[in-house]
Amino acid sequence: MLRTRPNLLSVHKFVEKHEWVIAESGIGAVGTSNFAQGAFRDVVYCSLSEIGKKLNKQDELGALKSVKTASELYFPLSGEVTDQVFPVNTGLVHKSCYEDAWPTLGNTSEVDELRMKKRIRNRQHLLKSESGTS
Amino acid sequence: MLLPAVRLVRLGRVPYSEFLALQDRWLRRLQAEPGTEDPPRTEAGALLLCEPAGPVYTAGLRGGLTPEEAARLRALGAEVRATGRGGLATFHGPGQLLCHPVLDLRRLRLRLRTHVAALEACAVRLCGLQGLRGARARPPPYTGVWLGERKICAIGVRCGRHITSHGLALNCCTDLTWFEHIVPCGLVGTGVTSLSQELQRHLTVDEVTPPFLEAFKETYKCTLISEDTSN
Repeated sequence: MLRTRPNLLSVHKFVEKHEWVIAESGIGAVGTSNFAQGAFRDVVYCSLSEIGKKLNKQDELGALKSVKTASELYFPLSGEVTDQVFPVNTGLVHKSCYEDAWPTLGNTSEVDELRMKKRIRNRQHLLKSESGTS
Repeated sequence: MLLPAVRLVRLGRVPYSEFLALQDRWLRRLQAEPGTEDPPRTEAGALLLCEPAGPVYTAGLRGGLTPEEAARLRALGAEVRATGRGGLATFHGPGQLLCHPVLDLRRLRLRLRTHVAALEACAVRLCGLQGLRGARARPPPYTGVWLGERKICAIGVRCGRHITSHGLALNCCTDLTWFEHIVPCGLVGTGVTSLSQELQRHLTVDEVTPPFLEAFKETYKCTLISEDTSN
């Protein structure tokens, strides 16, 4: 379900271009792309949804503010916030816990991310067409 | 009024991996039982304390050390570990008080941000109790407790299903040269310090722990119940 907002189209573009999801056994992590976090270079504030909050596609997950711009973070999938870390490193917002499968130093997560980005780009074309018909 | 109770688990000088294993056991215990009575309802979790037995560099969740940096640090004789906490790279080792409160934030009616602020307040209070004025917490990206432009206490936490893990690392008499091999917490050009360095006398982790525990009880408004380390 998409909420109607005046800037929905630009937000949706943000979602399409700048957010990625890694899915591993049904557990996902959400983040912003290098491009987006580069645009928010001097992040001064980051807020995240509280743990336990259930989110629908396009719900507001949190907010990033830099000295120059502000934007909400939108969630490209449905789910529930289960984990948070503090401080938050710019470029990463976490949706769920990996249990024992925490990314370790020197693993191939960068490659996995690229693979997922391709998959997600396809999926987000689906999202875009959904919003076009709703 | 009955204050919430927190189990105090003091490990003394142990390897960092052992400390993390203990943290994991407490995490599983607390995460597995919403609404059952183990630990009992009046208990909000555990306060885990140790002094790392050996040098270890840690990275935060997806942040802090490249594989090349990790190799370089291992060549120095240190362990290198990824963790699930927030924040970037830091160092843990002998002379440092490592404090991981594994708390059910619902039982303490705290949000994550308030828990972080409480950790900062503990460290600031502890500095005051040792005679150091001017310690202050700073907001991200300078998370931690500082004296001037020198960080005396690093903070990085995680909260999964309302249960916190990781916490703070307070330099008591840490060998600060270990920090020269990383950009601590990703902050180029900042310094690190310790209680011993600031007070110009040798303070051990054992000496600092009792006032730290007082600061913790005051800040979190809880009581501490001693727990033997067999758990």
